[in-house]
Amino acid sequence: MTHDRDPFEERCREALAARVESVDGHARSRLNRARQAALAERAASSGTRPFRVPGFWLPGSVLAGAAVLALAVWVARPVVNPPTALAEASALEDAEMLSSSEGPDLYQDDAEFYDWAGGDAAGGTG
Amino acid sequence: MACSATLPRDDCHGRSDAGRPASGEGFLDATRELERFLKDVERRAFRIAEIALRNPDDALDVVQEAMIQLARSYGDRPGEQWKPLFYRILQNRIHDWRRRRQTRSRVIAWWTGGIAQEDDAPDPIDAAVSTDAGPQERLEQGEAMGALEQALAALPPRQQQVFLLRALEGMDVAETAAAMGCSQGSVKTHYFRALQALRARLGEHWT
Repeated sequence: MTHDRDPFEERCREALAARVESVDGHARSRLNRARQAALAERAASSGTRPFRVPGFWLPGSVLAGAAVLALAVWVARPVVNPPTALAEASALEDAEMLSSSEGPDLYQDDAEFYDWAGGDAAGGTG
Repeated sequence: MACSATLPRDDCHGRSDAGRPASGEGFLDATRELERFLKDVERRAFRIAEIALRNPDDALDVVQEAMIQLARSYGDRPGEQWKPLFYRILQNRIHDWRRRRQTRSRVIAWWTGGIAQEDDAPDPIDAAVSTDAGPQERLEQGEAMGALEQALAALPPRQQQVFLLRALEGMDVAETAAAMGCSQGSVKTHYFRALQALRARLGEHWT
């Protein structure tokens, strides 16, 4: 959209442009600080505050993603079915038997005794 | 003819989902691009705010708020969208600032029983309009810029906004309409009326 501006309009533009060029040092300094504050705000609000590692920058989202992945792998790992209370008791019993100082013959003797006692009771002797 | 002074809907919710990916290098490139943009517009934005508010400290505060909101809410947008968004935020901030100042003035006036106090500075914009020295006189004194600024300050806000965005920021009609959230027809009308009012106040000899 090119049209010839009238001299009045052109003079207004020139005067305003000159005014922009004459911004003083105090205002320039404030503007510089404002710009830096805005850029810091962007880094903070985007959630991608860069994390410095030697050689390059890693955004926070990459680190967060890695953490989530690690958690997912840990949660989804294959698990062994938990032993039942009965099996646990049985295992304990087995261990107790194997570690006992008494030999397995003792238990064999007991079986013979109970067998004899049962038969004796049934026969009515005694 | 009334223009909407509201920001896009997602302004209230932070970043839009139309943002660019925030990978490491991409993030730094976008940040550098944003810094270049802000550096490019900051002085003009400051002058626009200063003319609108007639107070350099207020203008600096408003520009800083606009910069921060742009970076926080729209920093991930493509760079070509930043200018209209930034000026829309800036104009809304200016509007809020003026409204707060008017409210404060009313409260002070009510508190003091409506009696004008010497310490209570009148609205700077009103003061600019009711200045003793006329535009013609100021021109003769070599204060052309001061006369122009006072004439600009006396414009209705929407005319002032359109004129400054076009004449100072160099936006075309479409960009100005996008920044103001109104039609291009409204922009043309406001601009024409602003030029007429300025010409009437400053006089033809300005040329």
